[in-house]
Amino acid sequence: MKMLSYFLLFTCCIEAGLKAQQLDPAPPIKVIENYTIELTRPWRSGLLKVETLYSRISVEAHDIDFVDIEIHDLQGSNEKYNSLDPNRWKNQELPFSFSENENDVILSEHAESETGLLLLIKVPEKFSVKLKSTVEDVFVLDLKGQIEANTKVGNISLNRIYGSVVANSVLGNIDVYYKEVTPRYPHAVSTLKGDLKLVLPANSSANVFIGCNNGKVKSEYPTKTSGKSDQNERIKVINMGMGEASIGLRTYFGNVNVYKS
Amino acid sequence: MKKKDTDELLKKYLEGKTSEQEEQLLRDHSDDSYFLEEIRFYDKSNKKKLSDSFDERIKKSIGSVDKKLHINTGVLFRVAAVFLLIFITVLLIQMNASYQQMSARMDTMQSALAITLMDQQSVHVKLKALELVGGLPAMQTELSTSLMELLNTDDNVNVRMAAIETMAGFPKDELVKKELIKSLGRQESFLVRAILVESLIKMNDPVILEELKRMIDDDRTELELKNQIKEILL
Repeated sequence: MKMLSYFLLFTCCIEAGLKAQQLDPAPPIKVIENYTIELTRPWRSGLLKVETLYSRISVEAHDIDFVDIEIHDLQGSNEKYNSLDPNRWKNQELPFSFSENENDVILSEHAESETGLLLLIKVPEKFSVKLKSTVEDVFVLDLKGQIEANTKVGNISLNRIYGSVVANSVLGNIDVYYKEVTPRYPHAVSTLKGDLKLVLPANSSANVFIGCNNGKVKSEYPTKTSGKSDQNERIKVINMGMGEASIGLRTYFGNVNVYKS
Repeated sequence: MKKKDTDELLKKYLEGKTSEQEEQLLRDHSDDSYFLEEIRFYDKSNKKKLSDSFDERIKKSIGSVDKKLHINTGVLFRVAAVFLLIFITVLLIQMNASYQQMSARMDTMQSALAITLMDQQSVHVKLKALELVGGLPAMQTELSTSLMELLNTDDNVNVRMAAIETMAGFPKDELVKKELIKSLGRQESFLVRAILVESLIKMNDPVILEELKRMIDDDRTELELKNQIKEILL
């Protein structure tokens, strides 16, 4: 009887908890600022350079000829950003500064910033990006230009991309989902302590070199070991098609997974 | 008998259209110098008028003329073949020399292009430059200077790692070996150092291995680097 009452109490508690969760969902991410940058030469491709310390960076490519920057408050707890204020940029109240010169858009976070913000940036499809976040994650979606992404702690996630990739993290995971692999420039993805995930279309023409010192390599494509000496056993190679593009993957403490798309 | 008449008569005879009189005429003039030269079979040791076996003699002589011609053709062919062979050999030597010259020129151009690209801001372009260097047969001084600068000063870890792998592709270059060892103390990234130690070990050079062992024993070597070398080397 006692057991039953405990069980009923436990069930009630769980239900109450679930209801509380439903009634009180996570606070919505607030847009605290929005800014559109008209490009000087919209017919040409350009470069977006973003450097942050504590802010998350998310870049989406669209069929547009301007750059749109939205700043979101991830925690919803930054009261000073409770209302939208179009003068914030002008008054330099935001912890960012930006400049635009001949399609090169540069956005950098001030050193004194400590807020957990998200920069959601929409760019034209052919833009190239150079993104750097010290602590937070970096996302890129649907981009056709070249990508350079660096983090120290945050993860890097590049989805449905077409351009060449150079990405490095110290303690973060890196996911790269190629929609198409371009052979124009070599690709290099590395992390010291983190997993690497690569998704490649089956019709890719590329050679993938995988260096994995203290982890496992799993691949849906056949791999072979490069070289004959013992020291080379850590390098695995995937040969695809004519091998026009070169993709280098390297993790020192982590696993590597390669999937077919 | 005139030359023209002889020609016609001979032609007619060979076609079997001569009359008996014409054949007689031929026999009569068989001693004429032109006639002798024309039918080529006249044997000086047998200076007599052509007999009834005239047809047979002509056949015989035609055979011997053919044989002589055949022999002459064979010799000519051989001489021509020898000349052709000499010509082709000379041509190949010249082509090889010009190919080597062209190849050296291309390497210089490729090297110059790589140096220019290494100076660019984009990491993608720098990686492309390193890919170009990887295709060169030998390292050039100016190029190795640019590579070392890239290895020791570039911000990007991937570029520095690619520079190491490119330089390690020239294991016989003494300057490259020295600079790679020197660079060990300059690299702050754990990953870059690890790749550097791995590449140095792969070179399988006793001097390098000795130097790495010395670094382990040296008190001035950072503890982290020491451990890293130990882990990979031992």
